[in-house]
Amino acid sequence: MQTRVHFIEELSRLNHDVLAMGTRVEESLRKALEALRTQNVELAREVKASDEIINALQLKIEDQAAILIATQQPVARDLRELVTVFKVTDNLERAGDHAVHLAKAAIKLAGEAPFRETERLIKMAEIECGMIRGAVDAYLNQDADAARRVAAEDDAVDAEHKLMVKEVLGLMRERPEQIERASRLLASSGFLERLGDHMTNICEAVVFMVEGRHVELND
Amino acid sequence: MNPIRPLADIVRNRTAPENPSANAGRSITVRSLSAFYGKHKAIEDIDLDIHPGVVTAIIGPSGCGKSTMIRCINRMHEVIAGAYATGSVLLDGEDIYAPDANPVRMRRRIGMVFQKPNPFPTKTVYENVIAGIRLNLPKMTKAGYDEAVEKSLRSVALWDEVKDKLHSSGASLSGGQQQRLCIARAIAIEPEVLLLDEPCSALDPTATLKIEDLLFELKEAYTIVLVTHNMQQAARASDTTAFFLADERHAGHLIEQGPTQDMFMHPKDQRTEDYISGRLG
Amino acid sequence: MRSRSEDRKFAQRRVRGVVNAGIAVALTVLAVSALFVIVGHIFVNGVGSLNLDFFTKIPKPYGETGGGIAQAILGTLAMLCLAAIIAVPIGVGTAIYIAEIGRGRFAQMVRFAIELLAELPSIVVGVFIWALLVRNITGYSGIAGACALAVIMIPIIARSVEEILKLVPDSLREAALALGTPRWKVVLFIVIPTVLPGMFTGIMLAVARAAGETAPLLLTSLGNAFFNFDMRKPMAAMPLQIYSYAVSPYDDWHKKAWASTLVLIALVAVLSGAVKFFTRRWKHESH
Repeated sequence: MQTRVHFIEELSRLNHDVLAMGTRVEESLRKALEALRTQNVELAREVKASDEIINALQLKIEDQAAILIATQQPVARDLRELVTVFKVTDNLERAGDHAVHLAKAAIKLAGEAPFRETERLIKMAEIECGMIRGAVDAYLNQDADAARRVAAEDDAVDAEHKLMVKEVLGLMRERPEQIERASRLLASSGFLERLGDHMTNICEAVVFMVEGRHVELND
Repeated sequence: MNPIRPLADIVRNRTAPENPSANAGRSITVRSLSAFYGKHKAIEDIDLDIHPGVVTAIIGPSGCGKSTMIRCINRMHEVIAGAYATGSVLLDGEDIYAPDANPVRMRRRIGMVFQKPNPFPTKTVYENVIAGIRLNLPKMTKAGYDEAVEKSLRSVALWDEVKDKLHSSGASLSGGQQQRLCIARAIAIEPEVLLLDEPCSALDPTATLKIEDLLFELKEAYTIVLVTHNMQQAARASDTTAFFLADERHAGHLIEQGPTQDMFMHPKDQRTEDYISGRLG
Repeated sequence: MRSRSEDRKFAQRRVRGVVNAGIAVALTVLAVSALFVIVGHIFVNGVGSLNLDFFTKIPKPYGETGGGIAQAILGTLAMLCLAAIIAVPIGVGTAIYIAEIGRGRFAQMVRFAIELLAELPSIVVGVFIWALLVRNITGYSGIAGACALAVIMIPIIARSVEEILKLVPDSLREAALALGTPRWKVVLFIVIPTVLPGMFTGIMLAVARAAGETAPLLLTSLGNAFFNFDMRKPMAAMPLQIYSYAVSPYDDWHKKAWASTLVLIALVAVLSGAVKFFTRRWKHESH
C-alpha cells in the first residue's frame, strides 16, 4: 500500500504548474519570433500581456513549494526536487522576460524593411524554443542525461550570437543611418544568448536534483 | 517518481469542504471550557472552533492539557473520579454539557481512539468491530453484522489484510493493525465525530503514515480532531492546527489556532514559532 | 588483572551465594515434604477402609463395623451448592461494587467490612447463624448450615474477585465507554467476560475452603446419621462425620475417620484440578 499519497498528489500538482509555466514561456518566445518574422505588432503586444500570467505562476509555484517543505518534511530526492523547483521557476521567469524584450524589439523594428540579419535571430530563438521544452521535460522526467543534451545545445546558441555580433557590427559600419535599429538587433541577440544560459541553469539544477551533485554546464 | 501523468488520474475526487454533504460530520464549538482534576485546573477558558470535513490537530508540549481538552469533547474527562468540566461544548448547536444532556447517548455520536490500541482481548476481530453495535444499537441480522464489519474494515484499509482471520483474536494483529481495528470499531457505530488521542504514539513510522493517509480519507465523512505531540504529524496530516500551552502560573490555554499551512509558514505568536521550530525554554 | 584481595572477595561472594541458595532449597523441601507427610499419613491410614460400601451406605450404629459416609458426602455437596448459590451473587456483587462502582468513603467502608468478615473465627459465624436462624426460624438444618458456609465464602469470593477486577486495565473500560456504553453494560459485558477464568478460580477456592469447615456446621446443620434429602432438617457433612468418628472410642470408626479425611482431601484436590483444567482450556480457546 502506497503511503503519503497526499504528498505525492501535491507534488504532481506542483509539477503540472511547472509544465504550464514552461509551456507559456515557450509560447511567448514563439510568438515573439513570429512577430519578428512577420512584423506583427499585435502578436508582440500579446507577449507582453501574458508575461503577467507567467510571473503569477512563478509566485504560486514558489508559495506552494514552500508550504510543502514546511508541512511535509521532505528529505533526499523529494527535498532536492522542491529546492530545484525554485531555480527552475526563477530561470523560466527570466526567460519569459527575455521573450518580452524580443517582442519589444519586434515592435520597434516593425514598419520598415527587415534586416537580413533578423534571420539569424529567428534561428537562435527557434533553437531556444526547443531548449525550453527540453529543459522543462528533463525536470519533469527527472532525466539528467536529457538535461545534459539540452545544455549542449547552448553551444550552438553562443556560436550564433558571436556571428550575430560580427555581422551586425559590419551592418552598422556599412549603413550608419540604421545604427539605432541595428542596435536593437544586437541587444536582442544578447537577450537570446542569456535566455540560453537560463535554460542551462535549469539543466544544472536538474542534474543536482537527480544526481545530488553540482555541475557546471555553461562552457 | 514516475513521469507526469494526467492530473485526473492522480487526484482523487473530493467533495469540497465548504459544502459538506449530509453525513460529513458536524461542527463543534467550544466556549469558555475549563476542566479540573479535583482542585487542579488543567485547562482554562478555551474557545475553539472545529469544522466538519477537515482534520483539526491540537498540539503543544507535555502537560499543556491537550488530552484533557479532547476528552472533554466526548465527556470522557469526567469518568475519572473527581474530574469535572465547566463551560460549553456545542455539537452542531446542542450543548453536550447541558444539565439534561445524556453523556452515554452523546458518546455514540462522538467516537474515540486512544493512544495505546485497545481491542477487546477476549473478542475476535469480527466481534471487536461490531462490539459497539452489539452493545448499544438495536439488534441486526447476521447479514447486517457481516456487512457492517466489511464496510468498517474497508474504510480503514484493513479488510484485505484480515478478511481471512476475522475469527481470530483481536490481539493477534500487529500494533498498526490493532489501531486500525480500533478505528474501525469506532466508526462502525457511525458517529459524526472522530477523536484521536495521540493514535500513533505507540506505532512504528510505517504504521503511523498509514493511519495519516487514512485520516485523509476519513475526513470526508467525519469531523476529525487529532491530538498529537508530534508536530510533524500535525503538519502533514491536518488542515487546521490549535496550539496549547501551560505553565506554572497558567492552566493550559489556547495560544493560537489557524490553517496548518499558515501556522507552519508564519505563525502569529512567537511562542508558537518557538515551539514548532523546537526552540523551547 | 585482579588483586589477591579482590579474588578473595569474589570467592567469598560465590560461597555466600551457594549457601543462600542451599538454605532456600532446604526450607522449600521442608515445606513441601510437610504436605507430603500429611497426605501420605492420611493415605496410608485411610485407604484400607475405602470400599464401595463406604461411598454408598450410611454409618452403622455404635459398635457395629461396616457402613459408610454416603449421607455425609451428599450433605456436604448439597450444602456447598446452596452456599454457593447464596454466596456467589453476594460476593461477586460486592466485589463489583467496590472495584467498579463505589467511590469514596462508603466503598472503603464496605471493603473494610469484608475484611473483618474474613477474619471472623468460623465458630463465631456458627454462633451468629445459630442465633439468627437456628434458634427461632429454621432449627438445626441444612439451610442454616449452607448459610453459615455462605458467610464464610462471601469474603473470600469478594476479595479475590475484587483483586481480579482491579487487574483489568482501564483502557478496556475506556474503550467501551467511548462507544457510548452505559457503565453497567461495561461491567457485565466487557469487564466480567475478560476475568471469568479468574472468577471461577476464586469461587472454587472459596468452595474448597468451605468444604472443610467444621465449627460452624456444629451449630447449624448439626449432622445426621441417616440419609436426609430435606434441607430444612439437620444434615450430615463430611467434616462433622470426621469429627464424630475421630472422638469416638471405636477403632473401626477411627479408621473411618482417616478414610473420610482422605475423601475430603480428594474432593478438594479434584475441585482445584478441575478449576485449573477448565481455566487453561478457556485461555487456549480465546487465543
